[in-house]
Amino acid sequence: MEVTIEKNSAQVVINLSGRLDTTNSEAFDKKIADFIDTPPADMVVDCRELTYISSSGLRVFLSLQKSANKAQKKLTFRNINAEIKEILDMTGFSQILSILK
Amino acid sequence: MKQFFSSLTNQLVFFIITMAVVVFAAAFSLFFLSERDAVVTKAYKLAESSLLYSYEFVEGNLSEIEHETAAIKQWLSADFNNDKEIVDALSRMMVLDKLIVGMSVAYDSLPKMIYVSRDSANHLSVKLLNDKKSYNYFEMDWYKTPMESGKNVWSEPYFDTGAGNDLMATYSDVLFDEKGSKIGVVTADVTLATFSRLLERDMPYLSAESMIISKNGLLIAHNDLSKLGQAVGDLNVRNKIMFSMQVSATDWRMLTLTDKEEVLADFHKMSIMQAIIFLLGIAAIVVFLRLIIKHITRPVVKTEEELKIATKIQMSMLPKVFPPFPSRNDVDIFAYIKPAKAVGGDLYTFLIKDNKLYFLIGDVSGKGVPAALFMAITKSTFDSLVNYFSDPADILRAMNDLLTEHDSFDMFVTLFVATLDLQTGEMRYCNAGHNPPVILSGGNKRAFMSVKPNIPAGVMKDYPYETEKLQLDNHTTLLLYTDGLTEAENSRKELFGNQRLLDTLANASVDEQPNRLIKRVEDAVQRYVQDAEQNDDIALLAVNYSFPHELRLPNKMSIISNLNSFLETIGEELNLSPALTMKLNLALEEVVVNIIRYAYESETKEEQIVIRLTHTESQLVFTIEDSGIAFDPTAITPVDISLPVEDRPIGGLGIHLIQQIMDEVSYNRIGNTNQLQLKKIIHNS
Repeated sequence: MEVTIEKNSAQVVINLSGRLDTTNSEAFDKKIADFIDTPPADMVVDCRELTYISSSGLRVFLSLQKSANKAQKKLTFRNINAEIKEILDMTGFSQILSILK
Repeated sequence: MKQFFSSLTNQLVFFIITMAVVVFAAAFSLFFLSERDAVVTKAYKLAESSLLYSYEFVEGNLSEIEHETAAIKQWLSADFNNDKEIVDALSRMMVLDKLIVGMSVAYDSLPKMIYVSRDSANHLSVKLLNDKKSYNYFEMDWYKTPMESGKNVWSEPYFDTGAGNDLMATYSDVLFDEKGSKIGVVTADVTLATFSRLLERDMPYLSAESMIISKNGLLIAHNDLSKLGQAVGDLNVRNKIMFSMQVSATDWRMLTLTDKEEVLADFHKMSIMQAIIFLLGIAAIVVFLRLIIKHITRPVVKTEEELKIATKIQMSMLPKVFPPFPSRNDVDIFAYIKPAKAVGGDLYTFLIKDNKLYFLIGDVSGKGVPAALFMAITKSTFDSLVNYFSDPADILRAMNDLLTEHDSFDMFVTLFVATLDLQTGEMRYCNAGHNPPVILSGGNKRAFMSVKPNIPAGVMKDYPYETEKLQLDNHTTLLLYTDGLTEAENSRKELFGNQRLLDTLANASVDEQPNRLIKRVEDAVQRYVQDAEQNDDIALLAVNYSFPHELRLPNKMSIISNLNSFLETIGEELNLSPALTMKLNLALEEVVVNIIRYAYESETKEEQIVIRLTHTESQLVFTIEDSGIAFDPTAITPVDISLPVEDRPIGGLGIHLIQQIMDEVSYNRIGNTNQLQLKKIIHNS
């Protein structure tokens, strides 16, 4: 699991690659803790390189979405592959996350 | 050949004809030998009678000549010393006896010999000899031999070049004076051609030769004149019938030789005819015998054919397709059955139901048709009972109930009934008087299973059969067999025995394919019994079991990556799509995370989680076992996915994912373990 964060005045782009599972979801959570606590701007989560996600990863997505909503900032998920999309569908996440097709 | 003897008619015909041929051949040989002796004896008689005629003539003539010289001697001794008188006497004698071609008187004291001879024109002429110069008779055999021995002799035959080139013999009679001293000899030269001509007549066979042989073995007379004077040793006497008689006047022998072949020719012809008639007779008997026996044995043959059909039906009741579960990698089975008679009482069967292997081996008491029928009842009873019972003792008790219902059967069956949970390797079994199976597992363990013997089914109603349990190790083979194996006898009536069975399996690997294992046992028994007759059915059933795909994990979150590679391996092996592999990975991760979090509560104490996979072509079954506190993930209320994001709780996602991905999720608390089973239907391309 690799996380890179690009920040500019307009938005924050979080690039995810590899597997987001129980072993690293906590680390991921910590890495983006600042954005969860106080979302600075609009955020984009780019999942182009994301191959796997478990419920713990989804939970981090959910926290992020919740705080973005609270702070009235825009959060979009993009480049989600079919397998991950299926999991989001299963869990109803595709309805509560704004996913860029 | 085996094919030929499998027919009862052929068997009977073969044995009857063999008997007939032996008896007839013995009679024929006896007849042949005695008849041949009779023919030969007859040939001797014939030779004797034809020779006797010639014999009397020869004997008569020769003794006449001896008498004649004796008469001359008498005249000479009666002061008959005038030469002229001697010549007259000799001449008279020669006129009387035409056989004599020359006579002489020869003296010893001085060279004096009076010789009267007959020429071919029957004229007599006289020769007087007074000196040794012209003819030294002292050195001649006809003179020397009788003078030295003092005995009258017949000379060996010789060719006289003087008188007509005839074969001659000379009789020499010794002259004595009053004092008994030898003073000379009287001789008579006899032509022998007459005898040969005589022998020419009355030959008993075409190939016959008649002859007179001198003391020294020269031919004096022969029906073939060209052979005269030859030595008898030149004659071919091989394969000839020889008849001979001594001519009493001389040392001569008369002899008849006849080709045995000619004598026996007619007899041989007749014997060949007889042999042909004999063979034709046998052939005719074979044909008639076949017809008659076929007719007589028709009911027996029918029964035999029906038995063959019965064998087929009976064998078709037993599973015969191997390997029976080609898509499974956790269990493989092979079976072998060899009835001693057409139909047998041994049985085996197996089936998989709810991922449990049910298997059985049994041996019905007795043999033949009754045993076969009882076996069929036993087998079908088992087949229907597995639909209602899953516990071996329950099955066995129900079978026992049915089999004891009819006391009149008076039959029973030894059974070993077992189930094997393919997911966990737990074997449950119940024995009814059957031989304990052999278990082969790691560490060269080759042993008879510890089994409570109990009593055979069908003996006692309500016998309390109870299930026993054994946890099989990974890679275990069970060999079930009937006592036809351990009690197979060699020609010395010694049993194959338990030890030999264990020895046979000692070299077998635990994971040896069941068909190879059975072949190994089969070969060992075959080598042991050799050609000895099999007197009991033999049934063998080998079950090879290995755990399904298994992963053992410690209760640490960090091991999630192990789970990942475990599933990658399975996905590749079972040719699953990457998307499916990922989803299975996700479901299992959720399960394992739940166990670590809730069942074990803390990661500090080392615990274990076991994941096993069994599969068929259409489904995957994962079993996840842990020994933590009772924790039923299915009892967790799944998240309501319709809630808006603000109302979404953080938990409850895991179980929701599991249930979404899997087709069936079930939880069991067994003893101190939580057992969660996940089923996934797959559609393999």
